[in-house]
Formats: sequence, structure tokens, C-alpha cells
Amino acid sequence: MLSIQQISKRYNNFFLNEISIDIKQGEYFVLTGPSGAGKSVLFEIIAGIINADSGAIFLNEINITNLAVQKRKIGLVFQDNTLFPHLTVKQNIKYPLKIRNFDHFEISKRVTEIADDMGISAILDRRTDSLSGGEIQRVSIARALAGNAEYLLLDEPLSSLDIQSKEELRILLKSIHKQGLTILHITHDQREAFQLADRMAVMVNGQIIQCDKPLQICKAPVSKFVADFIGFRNFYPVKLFSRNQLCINEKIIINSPQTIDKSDFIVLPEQALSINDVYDDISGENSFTGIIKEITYFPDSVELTLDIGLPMYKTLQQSDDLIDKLTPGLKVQISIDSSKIIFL
Amino acid sequence: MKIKTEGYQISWFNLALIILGGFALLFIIGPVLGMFLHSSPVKVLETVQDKEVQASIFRTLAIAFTGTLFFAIFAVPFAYILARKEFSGKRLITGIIDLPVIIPHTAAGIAILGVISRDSLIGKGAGLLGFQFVGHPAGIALAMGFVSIPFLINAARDGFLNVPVRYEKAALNLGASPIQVFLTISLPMAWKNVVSGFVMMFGRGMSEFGAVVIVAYHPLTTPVLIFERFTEFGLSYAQPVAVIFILICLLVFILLRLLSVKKVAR
Repeated sequence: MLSIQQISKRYNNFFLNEISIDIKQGEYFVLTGPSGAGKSVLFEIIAGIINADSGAIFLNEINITNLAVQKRKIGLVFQDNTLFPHLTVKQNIKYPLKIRNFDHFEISKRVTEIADDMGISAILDRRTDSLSGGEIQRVSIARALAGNAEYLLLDEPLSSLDIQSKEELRILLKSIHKQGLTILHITHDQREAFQLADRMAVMVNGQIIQCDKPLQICKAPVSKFVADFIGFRNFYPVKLFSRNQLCINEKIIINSPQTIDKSDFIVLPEQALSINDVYDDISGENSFTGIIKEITYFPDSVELTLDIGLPMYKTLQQSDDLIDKLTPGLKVQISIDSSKIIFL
Repeated sequence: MKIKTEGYQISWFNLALIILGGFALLFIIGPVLGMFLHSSPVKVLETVQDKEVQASIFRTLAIAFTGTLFFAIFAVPFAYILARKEFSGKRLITGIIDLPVIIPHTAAGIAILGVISRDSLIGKGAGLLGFQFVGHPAGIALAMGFVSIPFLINAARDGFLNVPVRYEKAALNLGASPIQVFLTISLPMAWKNVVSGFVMMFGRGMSEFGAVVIVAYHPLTTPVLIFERFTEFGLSYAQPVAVIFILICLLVFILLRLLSVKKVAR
């Protein structure tokens, strides 16, 4: 297990504030948050490239806080390309093995194995400046794995890739992880985080504000920021009329079967909203008339921008029969399932 | 306003730049070219066969090259420190490095002589070992090195500054020790600048006269030999030696440059 305990670091203009996380062996852990949150600095501290001002790091119960970077079995793939430009792809992968004085036969065997696993056998003799973004990431990961890293830290490995390369590398990362490697992965793409993470943490201004399984974070984001960051778009400030009735923006009144003690914001997740093109008979509880303002088509879904006195968003699957009947300006019935509302 | 020519246009400003730049270039080429044109090929050929000239050229090249190599052992790591580390007094030290370039080279020679003369601590120490810097190739190398080392330090420092720190961080993370990072990543990536600085230091060192003549008139280096022939026999005797030395300097300079380009292109 990798245990990060109360790590603090003042670095340039920001402060990493008492970060504590435990990452289990074999876990895929995603660290997410906006730019400048301190994610990359935390990774460099874990890898031993920079030292923390205070706190401790334990790897398999051994304190590695002051252990030299070369002696930690933690591979780091940087956000920017760090393939050595004066070496070929093969020489780059050989680098950690040659540094550790592996014999020639062992080096060749290991490079061949890793190149096969990573699908880069055909580019081993290429210069690194001729590689595509996806190839650079594959070679960088291969090089980190060549050094027998037990933990792999990936700093935004997919951020600069096109959609196809991103998908290919995502599948590759899943496959490496299935072989038992523990992976820590930084991303600011919530979709990527949910696709890969066993567990994830949201980091803002040098602090971890929520750390849990992705589903749990979706069900109960701890703040409006987290809800916004992980992709919820329908969140609204509310006032409580009673313990079973609340009002959004002083326009929409929602009755709730559950007792509400206190709430400043609510999130209406996708599953809390349903749309019906028959709007004449608004009789159900928590049903409202809305107008479709905009329809945005994606390859696998359709996003509706609705106006029910306040803006609201609903995503429908391409297979939904309703899609063909919807046009901008159409009046629709919108029902809110109050049992699925998330109270913040 | 633009001047129209057949294929393209030249603005007055660009024309002025070309003319002014041309004068600067002529200022460098003119005297050298003039010297070549005024030298009789027969005299140059005779001078090539002169044993004293041959010995002085070989001596100058050997001392300058060995000295540059020796000083590089200190200058390159120092340049790396200047590029990578922050410390108090760094600006002052950076200024001190350029000092030999701006002080008169005869004054530099006097300064060196003060440190290595027979009466100095170093001179006495060398004397105990049965050797003296003054009048010795080692003294010449020191004089050459003193005036030319800024070229190597500054070029190497710029080279190391051009190597992004992330490559060194990556190498550390891959298990390299700091010295392995320096030898396998930083130095190869800054190689072009280091070699360029080496060539500049070597070139500046072998052409040094002012500091060398004070530390060691003998054994004769070629710049001192040119001076000696000029003062004792006149311009026509000094010119062929100068022509030969310039040609050899150019040849060595081009060879070393080609070497550095090939190393980088690999």
C-alpha cells in the first residue's frame, strides 16, 4: 500500500495542504481537479523528485519520505514529453535497465517483452522526435515499466491525444492495470476519470476535498464545486419552504418525500429527470412545462437544453424513440423524481 | 518606399541593413584577404618548410588543445552549477567569469605571472618539484586558459540552460544518480554548445599573444613568433607566418565545428 500522510508543501504561489491518501496495492486511483490544484506537485513529491515540507510517505509500510528518488520503485510519466531526444525509442526503454547495470541479454529480453506488451515493437529504432502523441505516451509508459516500477504515476497521459489514440491508450492502461500494477492517474477529464478509476479524489487549491469510489462521488458530491467538476450541470441554489418542500430560484417548487434538514444547493442528476412530449396534462407531482431551447447531437447521445423558468439539461440516448419527435421550440413535460435529488 | 527588382522587393531599410552589414563584414575580411593577396606564394612555401615555424605552430596547437581539455574538466561542471543552481552571489560570480575578456591581456599576463612566478607560493611549490611555470608550456597553457575560459563556461552554461529540467527529473525517476543524469542526459543534450565553447576557447587560446608573451616569451608560440619576426625583420617576414597560422587555425576550426555538428546529428 502507498500511504501519503499529511503531506504539505509551499511551492511557488500555492500551498499543498496536509494531503493524506491511502492507495491500495493493485488499485487504479485517479486524482482529478482544476489546473493549478497541485496534482503534479503531489506526484513529484510521491516520486521523490521534490521534497515535502512536512508529512510522510510510506510504501508497503516502509517510510520512503527521505529515500532518494532513484531508490523508490515508483515510475512517473510526466505530462510533457520526457523521452530523451538524443536516444532512439529502444535506447529510451533500455535507459533504466542500463543505469541499473542489467546484463545485455536481460536488457534485450525485457525491451522485447515490454515493446510487445505496449504495441511499439515496430517503432523501436525510430527517433523520438518522429513519434505521434499516442506513440510518445506508449514509449514513456514502456520506459517507466522497464525500471520495474511497482507503482505507476501518470500525469495527464491522455490529455494531448486525439480521440482514437485516447481510446486505444485507455484500453492499454486498463490492461496494464489488470496485470496487477497499481496506477495513480491525474486527469481533469471527468469522463476519463470515471472510465478508469477504482477510486478517485478531487483536489482543489492544494487540498483533497473528496476521495471515494466514482459512483459514490456521483451519488453524494460534497460540494457544488465537486458536482460541477464531475460533470453535473443541473445544480441550483434552493430555499427550504418546509422540511418536505423546497424552491429553486424562487420559481420552481418541488415536493420531497424525504425530510430535508438543511440544503443550500441541489443537483438534479440525469436519472432524476424525465421528458415527455405530451405536455397538455400537467397533473403529476413535480412535473413542469418546459421549452426545448437547443438540441446538440453527439455520436451516441443527444443533449437537450431546456427552459422551465431556469435552464436545465437532459441527455437522451440515440436509441431513444423520443428523439425524432423533438425540435427546438417544442413544449415538453419535465418530471423530477424527487427521490433522486442530491442535496448539497 | 520599396525598390522593385525582377523577382522580389527590397525595402530601403533592408537595403541600409545590407550595406551597413556589408561594411562590418568587409572590416573582418578585408585585412585578412589583403594579407593573403600581398604574400608571395613562394615565400609562404619557404616558410612552411621553416623548422622554427613548424615547431611553433605544433607547440601552439598542442598547448592550446591540452590546456582547453584540462580546463574543460573544471569549466563544464562549473557551467552546469551556474545553469542549475541558485545561490547567493551568483550574479557576482557570473560577472567575474567575464573579467578576463574585458581586461587588457598584458595585464592578465601580469596577473598570472604574479601567481606562478618563482617567488610566488605556487612557483615555489613547482620549484620544489624541479619545474617552473614561467617559460614552460604549462605557464603558456595557464595564460591561454585565463583569457579564453569565459568562452567555454558561458557557452556550456547556455547549453545546459537549454536542456529542459524535466528530462533530468525523468532520468532521476528512472533510477539514474545525479552524476549519471549529468553524463547521460545533460551533457549529451548540451553537447553542441559545449563543443562550440570548446572550439571558441581553443581558438582564442591559441591566438593569445598579450598574456603569453609576459608569462613565457620562450618557448615560442606562433603569435609570439609573428611578433618577433615583425620587430626584428619587418612585415614581409612576419606576413607568411601569419598567413600559414591563419590557414591552420581555419582548418582546425572547421574540423572541430564539423565534428560537433556530426555528434549532434547522430
